[in-house]
Amino acid sequence: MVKIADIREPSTSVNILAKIVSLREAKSSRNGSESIYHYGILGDETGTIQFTAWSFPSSVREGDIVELRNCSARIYNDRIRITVGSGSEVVLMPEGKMEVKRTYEERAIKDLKTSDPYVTVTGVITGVSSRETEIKGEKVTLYSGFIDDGTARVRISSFGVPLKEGLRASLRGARVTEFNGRLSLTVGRQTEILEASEPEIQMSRNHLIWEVTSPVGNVSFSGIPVFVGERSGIVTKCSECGRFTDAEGCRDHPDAEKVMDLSCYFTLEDGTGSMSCYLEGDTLKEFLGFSGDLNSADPVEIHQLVVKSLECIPVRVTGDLSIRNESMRMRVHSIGKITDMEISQELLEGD
Amino acid sequence: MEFSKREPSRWIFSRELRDSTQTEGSETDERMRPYIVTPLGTRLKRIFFCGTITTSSIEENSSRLVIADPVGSFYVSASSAGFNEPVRDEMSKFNTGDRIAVMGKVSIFKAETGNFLFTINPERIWSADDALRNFWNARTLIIARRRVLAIKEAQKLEKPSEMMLIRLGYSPEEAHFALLAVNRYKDYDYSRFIESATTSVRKDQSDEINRAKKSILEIIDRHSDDQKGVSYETILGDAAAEGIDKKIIDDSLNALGNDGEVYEVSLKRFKRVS
Ligand SMILES: [Zn+2]
Repeated sequence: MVKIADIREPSTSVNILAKIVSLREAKSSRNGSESIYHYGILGDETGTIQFTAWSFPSSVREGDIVELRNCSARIYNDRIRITVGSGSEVVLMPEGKMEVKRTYEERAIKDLKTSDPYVTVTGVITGVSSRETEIKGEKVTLYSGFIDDGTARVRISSFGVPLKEGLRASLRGARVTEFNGRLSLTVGRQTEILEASEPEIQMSRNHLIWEVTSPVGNVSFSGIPVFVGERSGIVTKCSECGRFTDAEGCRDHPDAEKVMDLSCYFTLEDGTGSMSCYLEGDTLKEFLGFSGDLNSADPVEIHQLVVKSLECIPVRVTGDLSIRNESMRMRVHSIGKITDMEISQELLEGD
Repeated sequence: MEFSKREPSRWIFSRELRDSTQTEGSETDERMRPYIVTPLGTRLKRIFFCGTITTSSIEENSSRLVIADPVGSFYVSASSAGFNEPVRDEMSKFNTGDRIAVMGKVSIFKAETGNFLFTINPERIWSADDALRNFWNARTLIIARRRVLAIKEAQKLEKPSEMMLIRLGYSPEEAHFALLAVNRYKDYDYSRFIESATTSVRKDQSDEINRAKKSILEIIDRHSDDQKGVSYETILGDAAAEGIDKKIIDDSLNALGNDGEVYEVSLKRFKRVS
């Protein structure tokens, strides 16, 4: 028998005694045929580990203690997991009792992944709002807000547990989910919210593109816009819904007024990857140094101004990431040229 | 908004490309350009770099540029055939001594010695100022340093795996590239690579200050015909006309002050120490 905390490397013959902390069922279609499999979390006195079972006794429930024989430990999505295969044995221990040590690894927000769903995150809670909602016929207050740890920011939803504006807190056992192409954290019954002290090290939100693989918010990249979109420049938008319109006007609001705005999109490269960025409105106007009237401006000139101000100019962008059509993009909320000071700083940091 | 899904460019110094001996994929099929795997494990088809033109030969059928970065040279070549034409016209606008940034795909040739030779077929060319050059130098050096750190970490492990490197804090791609390097290049001298790149990048930046210092002294000599010295605005104006950045002018003036070559006679008026 091996303890969960000692499972660190792939292995083909793992025997453990564990409690079923959580158990879920899912369908998979492999080779055209559908099959049911189970997944969840196993725990013992030393920690917890995720598992996937291709065959699993239907009598086993959450909270049961089981002996698992001949399982394998495999790496999946950068994490080690237990796989219960056809050659494995699952034996229910009806009299068993076990205190499970819940271990949630502390993660930087920029490193959160849905494939590693239960974590501890420490940061400052902001933008808290609440509303009443109903879950399974029961009235619950849903609190939402953001948490920012200096590396990035994500939305938090908390069912029932109040969030305190401005509090520096550790969310122990929060669940990482993805909604609308953006990452968020859910505070549930098992999540503890603990007041946290100030961090010893200042975290940086300036990342290299290759380091950020999840759609988190409030991150910065410095790089070079290499392609500026053809339709960057003056755009018209529906005054009702804010979406781009063509000459015909908005499809949903044909009677709504059309408003002119500045908008641009570009591909930023930083030597480690590329990021599709878009920005508009005052942020863009300020960056371009444009203060004229859009109604009387020449669209071609404005397009050229956007290209000239961005293309191959080192810039730092800060914004929120989201996933659309399987690719990541950034809605930029601030942009500025990179100064020589920042470049020397970067060189020093590399020492 | 349409974003094209294209392979991002890798930022590497010329020496990393020159020292490459490994490829991945077909070397013969023209349409299927193979990936180059560099000693630092960078797997690339497209690169982006910044440097100064040292040789330029613009001809009707094919144009060539040799572009120096801090540690060597890139060879850029465009033929009049096909998609390359607009960029070839672009190439002809630049002269020897100009600083440019190039994005392009890398072509591989096998020399008689068996070594690979690389040329870059440009897709885009831009004129590059100090800010761009400094940023590219700094960032490219940092990426190289991080790659080498990951490689050295992998070399320490008995059976290195991507996951082990990821646990040590490297990004998935860094971990992948580090293993490529470890598996493909056994005896590469990484310390020497980083040392030479670091020294060259620093020298590049200090060369710039030294050139600017010389220019500023000349400007002061040119204008200084009385006791009042030369105004900061005059220095700024003349130096800017020579294409020197304001930041570099300020740094150089400070450096000249510290060197005891120049002093401030009155507020923002400078004179040579004679
Ligand atoms: Zn509308």
